[in-house]
Parts: sequence; C-alpha cells; structure tokens
Amino acid sequence: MDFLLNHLLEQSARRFPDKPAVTFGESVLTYAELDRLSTRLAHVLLEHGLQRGDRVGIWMPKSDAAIVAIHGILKAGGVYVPLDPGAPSDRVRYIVDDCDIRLLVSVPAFLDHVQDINTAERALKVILMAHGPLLAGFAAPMVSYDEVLAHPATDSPRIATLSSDLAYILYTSGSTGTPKGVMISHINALNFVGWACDEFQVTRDDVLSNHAPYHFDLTIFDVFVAMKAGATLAIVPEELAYFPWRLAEWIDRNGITIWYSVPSILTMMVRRGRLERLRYERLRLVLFAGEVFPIRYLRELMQLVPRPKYCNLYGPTETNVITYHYVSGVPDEGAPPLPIGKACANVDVFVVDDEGRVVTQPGVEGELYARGPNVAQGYWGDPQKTGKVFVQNPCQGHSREIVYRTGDIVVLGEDGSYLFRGRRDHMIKSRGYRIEAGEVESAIYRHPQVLETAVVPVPDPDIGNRIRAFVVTRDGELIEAREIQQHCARFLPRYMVPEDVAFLQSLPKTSTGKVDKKALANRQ
Amino acid sequence: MDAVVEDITGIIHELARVRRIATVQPRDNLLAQGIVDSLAIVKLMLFLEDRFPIRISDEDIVPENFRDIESLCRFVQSKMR
Repeated sequence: MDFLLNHLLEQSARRFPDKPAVTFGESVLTYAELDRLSTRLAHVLLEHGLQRGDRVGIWMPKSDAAIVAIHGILKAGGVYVPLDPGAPSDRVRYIVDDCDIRLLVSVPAFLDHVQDINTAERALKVILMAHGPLLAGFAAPMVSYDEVLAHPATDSPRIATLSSDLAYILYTSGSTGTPKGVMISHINALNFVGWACDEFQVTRDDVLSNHAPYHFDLTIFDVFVAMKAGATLAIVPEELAYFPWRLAEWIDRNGITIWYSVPSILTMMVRRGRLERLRYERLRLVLFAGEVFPIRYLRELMQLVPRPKYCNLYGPTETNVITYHYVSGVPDEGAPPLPIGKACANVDVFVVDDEGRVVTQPGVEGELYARGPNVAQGYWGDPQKTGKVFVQNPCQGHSREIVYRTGDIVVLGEDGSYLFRGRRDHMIKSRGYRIEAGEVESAIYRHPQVLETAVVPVPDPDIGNRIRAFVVTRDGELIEAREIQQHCARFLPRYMVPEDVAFLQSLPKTSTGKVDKKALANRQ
Repeated sequence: MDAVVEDITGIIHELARVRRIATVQPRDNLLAQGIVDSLAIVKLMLFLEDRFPIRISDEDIVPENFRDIESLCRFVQSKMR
C-alpha cells in the first residue's frame, strides 16, 4: 500500500529497477540506484540520532544528490526542509532555528556557507552527498560521502511513519518580516500527486523536466509524480536556467515530454529562445503555475510550439494545486486572462464574500477557500498565523473540518470555471515567488537612515512584477539606491531584493492615514 | 587596463555588491555565485550594447559568454572585431 511518499520510489524501484529515474547532465541514476543510495542515507541519518518527525535541512545546489537527500530523509521518517541555495545566511539561520534543524544534508562546495550559519549552540551535523575537497578548519561534525556509501543499501529502515505525519516544510514569505514554514504531510502531497498522475496520464515513458528549485512547491509534481509513474526526472542544470537559447535546445535534446515551470520562464524562451528552430518531438504537455501568464506570450508560445497540450495550474503552497484549466486553442490577441479553472479530484473549492456568506452564483466576487486532503497542516510553530487562514469550514456546523483561506479574490464564470481577480492583501508575485510587501519593508526599515518605506509591484513582461521600494530617509539624508539593495540582500533572498529604489520627501497617505500604495504604484 | 576589461569589471562588481560579494576575480564563476541571474543578464546586455559598438543576438546569450569576467571580455572583443 502506498501511503507514504517514499513508497512511490520503493514501488517503482521494484517494478523498473534499471530504468533511469533521474538524469543530471551526464549522470544517470536508475531506480535501483536511487533507491539504494537513499536507503544508505536513511541509515546514516538514523545512526546520527534522527528521530521520527525530526526536521532535516537540504542545502545544496539543484542536483541528483538533492533528490537522493529528499528520499533518504523521508525513508528515515524525517521531515525534509529544502533551503534556498541563494538565500542569505540570516534567513537560513532563521529557518534552521525556527524548525530546529540539527542534521543538514549538503555538499563540500557549500561548507563555507554552512560554516557561516553554524554556531556551538546550533551544533549542526553535516552529511555530505558528494565527493570533493573539504573546507580547511571546518568545525562542525561531518559525515563524508564515502562513509555514506559504506552503509548497507538493502532494506529500507522500518519506521512507523503515518500518512498524516509531516513529509516536508516549505518556507514562504511572511508579512511580519519572517518567513513561515508551511507544513505538508504525506497524505497532503499524495492526494495531489495521485490526481496529477491520473489527470495527465503520466507513464514510465514520460520524461519530466525539473526546472524549479526544491524550496518551491512546483518540484513536488516533478519529483513525486515522476517516481509514482516510473518516469524519468530530467534536472535542468542551474546554469542553463537563465539562458533561453540553450534551455530550448535542452528540452528538445533530452526528449522532455512534460514541462512544468512558472510562466516567466516560458515567456523568456518565447522572447529570446527562438523556439521555432526546434521540433520538441516528444513534448506532449506544458504545465505552468505560480503567476498569471500574459496572454500575448502564451499565444506566441502556442503558435511556435503547437503540438503539446497547455494547462494552467493554480494553488498556493498551503494546498499545492487545487484547480486547473486546459487552454483550448490559441487565445485571441485581446483575450481575457486564463481562468484558473475547476477543482482537482478529491478537492473542493468555494467562494466566500465579505460578509462571510458562501456565494455560488456566477459573477460575484469573493475569497477562494479550499477543502480536502490537500490542505496543509498549518505553519510550523505559529498557531496564531495558522489560525487566521486555516479555519473551521463555515458551511459545516456539526463536525470539525479545517479549510484554507487562499486570500485570493476570484469570481465564478458562466462555464463553471473560476477566474482569478487579485490578492486580498499586498502580496506581490515575481518570478513565480510570492512576496509579502511587508517582509521587504521590514528589511528596509532595519537600515538606520530609513524613516519610512513602502514596497509596490511594477508589472514587468518578463518576470510578472518587479519590486519597487519608495524610501524616505531621516532628515532627507542622501543614500544611494545601491546601498538599500545591498542592505536588503543581507536579510532577504535575492528574488525579494527591490529592483528599483526611489527616494521621496514623504510617502502619500490615504484619508485613513495609511500609505497610499495605489498612488505609489501609479507613479512613474 | 583596456577599456573593455575595465568597464566589464566595473559593472560586474556593481552587480556583485548587491549580492554582498566584495571582489570578483577575472575567472570567478559568476553563475555559480549568483552574480549573474535572469535580471542581471538583461542589465548586462543593455549596458554592453550601450557602452560598446555591438549588437547582442539571442544566440549570444549562452553560459560560455557569461561565465566569468574573462569570457565576457573575450565575447565583447570578438563582437567588436
């Protein structure tokens, strides 16, 4: 019975031991090899004190070793916490402390970063998943890759993990200046993975791309749908990620059948990849999620690459994908934005208006709620934030059922598809990441010369939105935009550092005294 | 120092400072260090086309040309020839 995410790999390893499970550049791991390697890592973790439910960090660049780490941690009954390889030390330190990470899976090339966040109190133990020269004077206890390889590969450890136990925690931007850890159980993820496998009829003949980094929930589809189907996961090398010309060739050459990324990446390929050069013979499905796809570029993409089906997926990290919409035919030039569509199997969505009433008639706006096994377990160690958005189902008076308030304003269309209208709060979407304006503002406020600041999105055809910060300094003191950016880079991951910084004498206010973000957004 | 090398070293240091990296050696990998990402590439292209008499085409935007300061200089010099 497959009731844990790690069972998916174990099943496929039995059925297709010699099939390529993961490819990364020239390296290929078969299902049997991935299964054995992750079992070795699981035994190492247990030997070094991992208890069921303990959080284990993964901090390394995107690679096949990271996939081994994900499975190894799950097999040992741990909860994996993927750390952004590009995040500044302060943020990683915060996450490590917040969810009490003691064991960290990494690679030799990252040891200087690890050194930077480690202290005697943290006492991290590092397990290396690659060979390579070690950092001289590295202080923390460390398990070399050779030691990992020396562990037995037979028999996954027997751990009494339940499907309702946590499998991973993904940290997302939080409004009060600190990231929140979204807790996902095995059953949360499996419900989504099972739906995706069936809906897109994924088989062992498919080759799935892995473009997103592992702290981003798009990778749950890549990693676990591939494992369930016995398909091959082809990891996009990080150094190709920003080079559309080469990325197009990579998709063609690797025989990718299912592509999944944020629309920004597809837009970049339309604009700069000269997609018409190649045929993408095997590509049958293009999935995108995380932000609104500008119709102009979707239209061009579908004209340049006409064969595959295109499907828009929607859902916040707290639920993974909950609605989907197939694009039927190339949209017209002036077509309205794509619907987010209808609910996935075994998921229910409904709309609640400002008065708290459930609205079912088309054309009335309200906040989208989600219910079903996809709904996450809340935010790690934060019952207050959890209680605000993981709430009792307002339609259910007689039994306990927690539903998730997405914070997204939607409207039901005449055809039964939902349309996305915007955010209830000031969340900004950039490059598929959701960014709380408040978190960027808190970082800017930490600068001693800053008196007042407000962060607004500036629509950008390539990345969805750029982040613009308006800053008022103390006594009008002159500081450079670059200084604010460097300051932010100390506390924020790079996708949250404002691209533009403008200085004002004062911030415009609304009649209620709030910063007038609308007026700021309209400023050139 | 030749103008190409000087200007490119200058803009790379500017991009690096945003990432809190103080100095960049001519052969330091800009991609691995996150100095060059999707936005930085756009900025770099605009800067190079503005500063030198060159036009950068889509097929020039490949990792080999953006890997380090040395390869960027080589790329610009070959375009100017």
